[in-house]
Amino acid sequence: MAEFRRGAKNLRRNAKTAARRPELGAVISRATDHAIIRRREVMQEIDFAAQRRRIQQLRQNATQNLPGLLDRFKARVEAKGFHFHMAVDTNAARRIVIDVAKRHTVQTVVKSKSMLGEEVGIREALEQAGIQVTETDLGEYIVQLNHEPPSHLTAPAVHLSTGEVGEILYKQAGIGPFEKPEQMAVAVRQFMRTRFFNADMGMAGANALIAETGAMLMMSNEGNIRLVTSLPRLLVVLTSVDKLVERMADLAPLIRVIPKNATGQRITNYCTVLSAPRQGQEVHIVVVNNNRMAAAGDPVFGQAIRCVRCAACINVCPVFRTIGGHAYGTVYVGPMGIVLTNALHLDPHARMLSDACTLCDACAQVCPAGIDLPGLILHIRSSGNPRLIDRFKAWVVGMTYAGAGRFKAAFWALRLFKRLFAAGYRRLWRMLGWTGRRGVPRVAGKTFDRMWDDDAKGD
Amino acid sequence: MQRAIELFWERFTGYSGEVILCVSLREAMQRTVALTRKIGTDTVGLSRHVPVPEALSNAGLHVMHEPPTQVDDVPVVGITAPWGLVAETGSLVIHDHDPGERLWSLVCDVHIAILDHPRIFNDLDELFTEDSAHLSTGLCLISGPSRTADIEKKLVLGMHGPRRVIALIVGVD
Repeated sequence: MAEFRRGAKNLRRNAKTAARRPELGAVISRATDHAIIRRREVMQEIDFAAQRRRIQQLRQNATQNLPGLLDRFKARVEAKGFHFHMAVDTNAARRIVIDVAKRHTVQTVVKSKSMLGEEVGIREALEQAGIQVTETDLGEYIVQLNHEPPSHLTAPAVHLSTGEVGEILYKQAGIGPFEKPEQMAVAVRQFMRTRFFNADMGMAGANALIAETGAMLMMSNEGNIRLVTSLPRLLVVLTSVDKLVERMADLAPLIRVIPKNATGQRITNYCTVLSAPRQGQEVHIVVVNNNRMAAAGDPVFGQAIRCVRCAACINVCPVFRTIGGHAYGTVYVGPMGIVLTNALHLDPHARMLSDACTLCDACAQVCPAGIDLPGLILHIRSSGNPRLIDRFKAWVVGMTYAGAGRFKAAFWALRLFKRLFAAGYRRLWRMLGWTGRRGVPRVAGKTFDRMWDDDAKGD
Repeated sequence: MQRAIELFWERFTGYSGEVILCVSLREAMQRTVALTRKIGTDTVGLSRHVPVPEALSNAGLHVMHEPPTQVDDVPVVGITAPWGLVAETGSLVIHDHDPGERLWSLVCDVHIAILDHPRIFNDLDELFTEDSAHLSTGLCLISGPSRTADIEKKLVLGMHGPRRVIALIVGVD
């Protein structure tokens, strides 16, 4: 991450840095290709369109009624003996979690992967409070050791090769040296077991909060979430208000579709429905808002809050596959990252992220919540004050495509310009910012109409 | 029911789980003893939900009932009694609120699940519309061994949970 700067305003600079590392795109493509191919195979087992309609409907019902569902959820969990906390923003979330930890003189925490945890910087906050935090998901542990954020929602270390992971484990944790993923995983398992058993506090996220019963859905392949939620006597569930759904029955399409969409798995290995505090355990549920309630009511961005964080849109995004997650400079990356970062106002320069999109529509095709991601990105792009050069480019394109006559005239002028000033022609494209890393487009000697006519005459 | 069991078998084994159909509970316990010995241990962690636990101690196995509190106390084999299975996803349904069911299905290298006349759900919709006490106290769906593919998508079994999950199913013929 050292070579990438944080913050959406650094997107262009970071993208250039990423583009200078072709091996990065190769590693990411290998991983995401695997998920895309597997997804295609397992999706044949279900009617994706029908499941998508169900998820869209249930998520829409939930996001349109967040305050009501939150009240029901709170009443249910408190009746069962959970401790409920509402955090309006990042600072409140950090304060609540640290207060709980300090009250119990917590010194060590085992934590499962959580994008909300990244959003509010909970690990850093706990560490600043003098508490040792161990990420227990293998990929997340690797990026923790490498002092960088995750580069993908479901595959935090997707940007690292096996060799790089081996080096990080050896240099940062003294594990190894190993060359094979199997050896690395076994060694991390052994090392982590002691941490699980000795931790003062466990910390997990939730994939869904069920208002009807006050239960929480947690999904993991590695089993680390079950260990985090089972072994320590103190547990904090850090989650967000947009995870609310109304009924237990809503879990079926979510459990069915999310893993298929995310990684091409039929089901996540462990799907736990935590419905009551476990014997001898104190459980605190911290529900974070961070602008979600307001965004849910927004006529444009409301649909973004339906996102179920499957990351399928990230896997298929050609921009992500080229530049990776760190180049965005934000917690949430890829198409959903562009939209969520804007909807939740998570970065003062969030609008600039909309540049990281080709409007190819691939994300919309795979979104299980039916979110119009390209439409929202286009909306973001058209809002605010674009740079002068971008306004000029938009004006040129607008003028050129305004009519057949203008189109022909523009390309006639371009051909003439190229013939008279070959060097200036190349400079023109460079100035427009379109040929930094690719060749100057060739202007055909004849127009398509002309070629068509000539061809017809030849026949 | 036959179709549901076939589908469960196909999907559970597809995720590297192992399935053994048994004609009686007696056979299931005998097979459990044989499996444990073959694995090379004589100590097992046992959930209180497992029927006829004396069958294991009578066969000379050392049985731990209390879930471990120290990493060194974890035996190689943990035995539980899931109350159901889901055919669609190839999942065992564990009563997760019970500490024995939860921990013995999680911390050992090998998890042996004895399903005596389990509830069979064709799909997730059937499970989550069930009016059951298990839903109100918590459950876990387990679909094969613990796994990770976090390093260049290379699959490794037994990341934090069991490396082997063996389901012995009684009463579904």
